[in-house]
Amino acid sequence: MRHVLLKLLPALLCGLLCRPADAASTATAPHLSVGLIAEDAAVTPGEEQRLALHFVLEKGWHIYWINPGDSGEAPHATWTLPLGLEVGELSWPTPHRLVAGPLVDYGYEDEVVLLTRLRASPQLAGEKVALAAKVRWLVCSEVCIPGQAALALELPVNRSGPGKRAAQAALFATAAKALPLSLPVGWQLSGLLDAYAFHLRASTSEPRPDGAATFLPLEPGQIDNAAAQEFSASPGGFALRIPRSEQLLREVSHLRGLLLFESTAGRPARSFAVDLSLAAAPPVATIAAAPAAPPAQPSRPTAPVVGLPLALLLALLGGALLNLMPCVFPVLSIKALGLVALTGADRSRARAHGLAYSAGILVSFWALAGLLIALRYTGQKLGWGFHLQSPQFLIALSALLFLLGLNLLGVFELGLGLTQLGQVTAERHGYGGAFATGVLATVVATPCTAPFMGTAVGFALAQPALPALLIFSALGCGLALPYLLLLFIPGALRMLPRPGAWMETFKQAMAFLLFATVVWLAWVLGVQAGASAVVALLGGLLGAGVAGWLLHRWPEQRTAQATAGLLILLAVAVPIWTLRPVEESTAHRSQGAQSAGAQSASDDLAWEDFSPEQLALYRRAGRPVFLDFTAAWCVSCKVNELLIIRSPEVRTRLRELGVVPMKADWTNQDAVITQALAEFGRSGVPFYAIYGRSADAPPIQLPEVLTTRIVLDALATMK
Amino acid sequence: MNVRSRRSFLMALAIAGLATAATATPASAAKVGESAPAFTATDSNGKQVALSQFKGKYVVLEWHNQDCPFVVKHYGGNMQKLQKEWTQKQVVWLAIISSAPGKQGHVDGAGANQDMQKHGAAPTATLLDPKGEIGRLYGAKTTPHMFVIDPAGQLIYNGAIDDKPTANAADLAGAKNYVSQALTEAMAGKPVSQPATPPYGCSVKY
Repeated sequence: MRHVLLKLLPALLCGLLCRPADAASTATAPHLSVGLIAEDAAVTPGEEQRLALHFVLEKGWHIYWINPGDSGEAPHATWTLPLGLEVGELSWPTPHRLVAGPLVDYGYEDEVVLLTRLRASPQLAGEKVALAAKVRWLVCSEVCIPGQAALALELPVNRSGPGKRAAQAALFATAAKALPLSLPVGWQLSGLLDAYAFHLRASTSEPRPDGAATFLPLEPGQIDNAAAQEFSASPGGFALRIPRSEQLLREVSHLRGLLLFESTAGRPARSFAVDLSLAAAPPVATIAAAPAAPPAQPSRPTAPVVGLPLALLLALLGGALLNLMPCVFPVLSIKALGLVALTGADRSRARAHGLAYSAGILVSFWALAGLLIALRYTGQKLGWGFHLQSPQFLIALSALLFLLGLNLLGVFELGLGLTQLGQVTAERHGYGGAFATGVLATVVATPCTAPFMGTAVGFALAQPALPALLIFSALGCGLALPYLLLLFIPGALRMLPRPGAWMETFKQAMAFLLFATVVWLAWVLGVQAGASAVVALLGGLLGAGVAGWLLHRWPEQRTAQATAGLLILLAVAVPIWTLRPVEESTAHRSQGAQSAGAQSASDDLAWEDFSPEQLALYRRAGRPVFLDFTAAWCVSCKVNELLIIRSPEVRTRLRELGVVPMKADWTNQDAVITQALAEFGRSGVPFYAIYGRSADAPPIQLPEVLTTRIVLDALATMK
Repeated sequence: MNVRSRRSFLMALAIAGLATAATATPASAAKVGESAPAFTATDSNGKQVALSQFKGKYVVLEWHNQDCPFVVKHYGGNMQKLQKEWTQKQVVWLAIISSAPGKQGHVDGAGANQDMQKHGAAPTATLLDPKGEIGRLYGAKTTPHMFVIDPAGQLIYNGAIDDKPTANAADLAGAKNYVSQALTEAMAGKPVSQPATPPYGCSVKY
């Protein structure tokens, strides 16, 4: 009897004291509970099973991904295991982007399961095994609270065949589905890192998920987590531009992380694990821009090294030629019209007015150039025409031109000198008007680029401030020159037609030219900032129209004038204010889509968006490239495109030669394009370069004003 | 010039001015290798402190939030030790609190002094930046986020305090302190080997 009792004693004691084998163990902590769960009810030697760390979070609180992002810390587990058991690394499900003001973190809310593999060696001894995990985490909402828990599991060792699944199969299945997928077979990924961003390019031989993708990096400190990434789809693949972190100073050879495709109608979000080696930055991006011996500047073979005297001469010529461009011609003709009725006695007065007009031109060139130089000094990547990249400026300019058009039509009178044809000589107080006309002439001249101007401006902006301002002064002098010549050369005025009733008709016709300019500016605004911006502008113009009517109906009344002035200010300020949160990336995308759409409608050449690394890839592959730097607000560019580049002969020749047409659209601010222009020694558009098949041959640069002959000759001689 | 033409002229100027103002873009964050952005702030004793008054000395900026677990990790003795060691070598140590009113870590001058005294901390001054102006000027993301400025006013370090981005005090032992490394190298006339690292900590509560 005693023997039986002794044998039964352990069983009795165990029945009282031993806990039944548990396949789970949970701990509750502030704001979350965490559990350690085994997939199988037992451990089988020689087999693998999964373990899960299941976090359930209080609403509004989150824990972090393996790369927590800008702030925070990832959870981690330290394991204590008996001999014969091994645990692998934690598998992290696809995280969410958590935005906290200017910071972006990556983490999980509500609930997350971190899976890991448990391997039991075939030599596992014993009947039971005890696993312990010390889990530490940082759980945050507005504030962060560190926490830890000790979790333990005791599992029997099963030596008789495959283990029975515990009742948590659903949890493991869901958790496995939340893990990133591997890259689909047939997807080819390439990437490189340049001075501003990582560029990822994918060619997908099978259809890719719809919707845009973002990249979530596995390693901290590589990308700028808060910056917008630019995704662009193209037939056969896509590209993603990921701004780099400002803290990233060293070179990076590998980019590891997740490509997260957003959910679209009928398809949930999907993420793919990415691990790619980055190529070296392409030669184009590393060409030094400093003037040096020819080997350092393979992109400037034919143009002589421009010195200051030559640049000044080119600027003077370019400025004079600007008068013939469609931008300035209306202003000049109206100014000249004012001289038609000039008599000898008034000539000295007229000359003084002419000097005031020239002063207006010079001062505005100094102001524009000075502003550009100052902005570049602060690190902004801008070039000539930078003010036209700003939708706010376009609105103000459109309103001004609209009001002037109304003025020319005779809706109301202003002393701006454009309409006071007879008054150009009359009183002393016309000087202010003449000055303002000079300012106006400069402002409307900027969308046009005359021959020689491009080289001069490019040279100017590579110089220190004083020589740069000198060159811009020369440009201004050139612009004012024809008018001054008319005034100061005796007998020049005799070349002008006799005064007559035609003058009034001409003046009113010019008004419609100004309205046409407003229509064009509205189109540019639409490309830059979308259709709603155009509506805002039109509303503003409506207000300006009402102001004009007030001045027309009650010409001498103070209250009418005051109300009109206020209306004009509102008409400009309100559209500008509604434009404030213009997101650069969406504007970029909509503009790209729009210009792409406009192109594909009328020509069968597939224009690609410019990117330095794609250009390098084409050059390495030996494919010729036609590079077109253009902008919606650049009149010269559009004229060249419509008349020459889209002409049947040029299109056919480009297609025959297999030339890749590439468009760098500078309608909005774009640091990459500004940099590319600077490497050619330019800071404005239009600019054209043709790369031949040979990777070493320098590109052929085309002049600002194109003809079909120029383009075809260049294509024939490209190497 | 007559009243009408002067008004129209001024209006044209105003429009141009509006347009230019609207296109002005904000300054970017402090960049290593460039001049450290200048600022003035009120310290915990009500005195005005300007960065320019420390020209000729090394300056360390430490973004601080006494309730952040990462700061707590370092204020268990590590930060105090660093502060004493470097202020004895004539380095100016400025602790900056950019928490907005109502957010974690926000204190007034008395509260800041109490906090530093309680921990035996000895920064040269504790600056109050409740509007977050200095934080945004420098692009301070986390607490702690460390910046080191050399005597010529150049920013020579921007980033984490050390290479163990956890809130666990056990990770202090054996961690490489980037601030000490930058100061030691700069004072020896050598270039800073790791001038920029990703900062870690809690987010600054702007």
